[in-house]
Amino acid sequence: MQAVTSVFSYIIDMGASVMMPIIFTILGLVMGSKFGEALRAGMTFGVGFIGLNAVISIMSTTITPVAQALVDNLGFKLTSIDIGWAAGSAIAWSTEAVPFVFLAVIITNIIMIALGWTKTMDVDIWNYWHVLFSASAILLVCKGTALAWVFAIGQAVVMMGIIFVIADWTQADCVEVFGLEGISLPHIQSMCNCIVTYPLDKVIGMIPGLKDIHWTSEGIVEKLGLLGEPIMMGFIIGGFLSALSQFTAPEVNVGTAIQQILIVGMNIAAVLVLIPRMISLLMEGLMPISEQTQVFLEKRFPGRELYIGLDAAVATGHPFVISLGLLAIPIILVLAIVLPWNTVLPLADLAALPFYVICAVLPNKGNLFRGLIETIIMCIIYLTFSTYAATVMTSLAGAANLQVPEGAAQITSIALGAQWITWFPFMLAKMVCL
Amino acid sequence: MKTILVACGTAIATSTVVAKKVERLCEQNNIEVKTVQCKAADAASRANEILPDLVIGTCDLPGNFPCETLNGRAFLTGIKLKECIDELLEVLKN
Repeated sequence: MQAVTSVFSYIIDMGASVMMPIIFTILGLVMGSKFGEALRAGMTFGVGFIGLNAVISIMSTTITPVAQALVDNLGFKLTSIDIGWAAGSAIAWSTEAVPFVFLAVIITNIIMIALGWTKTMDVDIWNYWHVLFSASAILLVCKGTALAWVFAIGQAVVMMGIIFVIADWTQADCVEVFGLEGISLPHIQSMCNCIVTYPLDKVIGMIPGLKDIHWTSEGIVEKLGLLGEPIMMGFIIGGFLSALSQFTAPEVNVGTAIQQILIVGMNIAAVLVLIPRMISLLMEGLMPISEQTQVFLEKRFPGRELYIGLDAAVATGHPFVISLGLLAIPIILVLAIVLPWNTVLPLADLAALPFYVICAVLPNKGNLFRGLIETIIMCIIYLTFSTYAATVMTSLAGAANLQVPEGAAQITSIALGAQWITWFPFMLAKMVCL
Repeated sequence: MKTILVACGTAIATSTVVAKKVERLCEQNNIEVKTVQCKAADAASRANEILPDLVIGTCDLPGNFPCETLNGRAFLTGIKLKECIDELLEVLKN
């Protein structure tokens, strides 16, 4: 046992960029890939991770002095920087929980299909990261005890079980609104929110005066399109924060201030453009495993009428979703400032908001009025839980050897708030284990 | 050299999967391709900018396109993949 533990810690000590290629090569072989293919894929993942680290360190060195100045000069409270879902997924796919949670989720899916509890066959391996993240968070906070492992794997099973059922329930609406025939969306960060929006929609439907209001989202994409571009958003928000931090200082040199504004703006724009490029490499590294899993699952259930569970990305091209996603940008920014308990500075995930408003399109079939009300309620929930997630996200990033901002700033992402249901088992685990 | 624009929600996740599969497929069929990824919302404007030979989307693509478009969902689900591949190769060989 001693020997096994020391082999494990020897590997873990080398960090995610070495550990994950080894884990993915082995996992690839287990799922039936060829050795060369599995190794190359594993190494591609490692390369993506190293690239991501470089990009996040650009962000940290850029944002740390700005955040510090904002706190010093203004008592600015939005110190948890939203660095986007991508960093969360990279961290989630880079911890020792990966092989165990991965297998637990697949087994859960197989058993649930076999027992007829779900019709969703989840081939979207990538988004297992939602429960991988919460598993890693539990293991980190509860220090990897046996009980922590029980919670980490248990919550993955329960949360994925819940999302398979939600995917089944919402499938008919996915066909009607998005035309996704034979496809369901077992994507926690997008679809768990339906637990809130469906009942909410029922309530709005009962209120006289409100129930008959029907707005459409025509023309919004053309008017607001540029706002959703990461490169523009990064430059504007980065530049604005830099300006705010400098012009509130006791002495200002306008010349250097303008230089700084442009430098910070460009750096944040670069980060928002480059993070996704790195994530593409991580995805490429996961592809052999995800393909083999699909083959493996399909062999298990020939001839059964099942829904193929996909990434909610397949719904994000719909005009309803794009429009509401754009309108959600000002909504969440205003809420971030207004909500007294919020510390999240929305940034990178502003570009991912279409994912988090799918739940506000489905129940009302694209009625923009109801969609907006539901989006406001959901954004409050997202910000609340992203705020809660900031501390553990910052420590997890540190544990994965990513360069995190120092001093006043923490990192988080709206995505982590959007998987709010997974934070309940986390709280429970913390209560029981500590 | 053929250019294919692949679009999905964020230009990160599903479009990477489809782009890699299309690249592999074309290699097997001796077709030289370059894939470019973009967001579904920007697909139409990008397509008019770079004038690709084909646009593949993993979701519905809003707007007007200067070339043929193909729904690439089959690359994710595996359902009717054969038909989808045939259609893809036919467009590229012309």
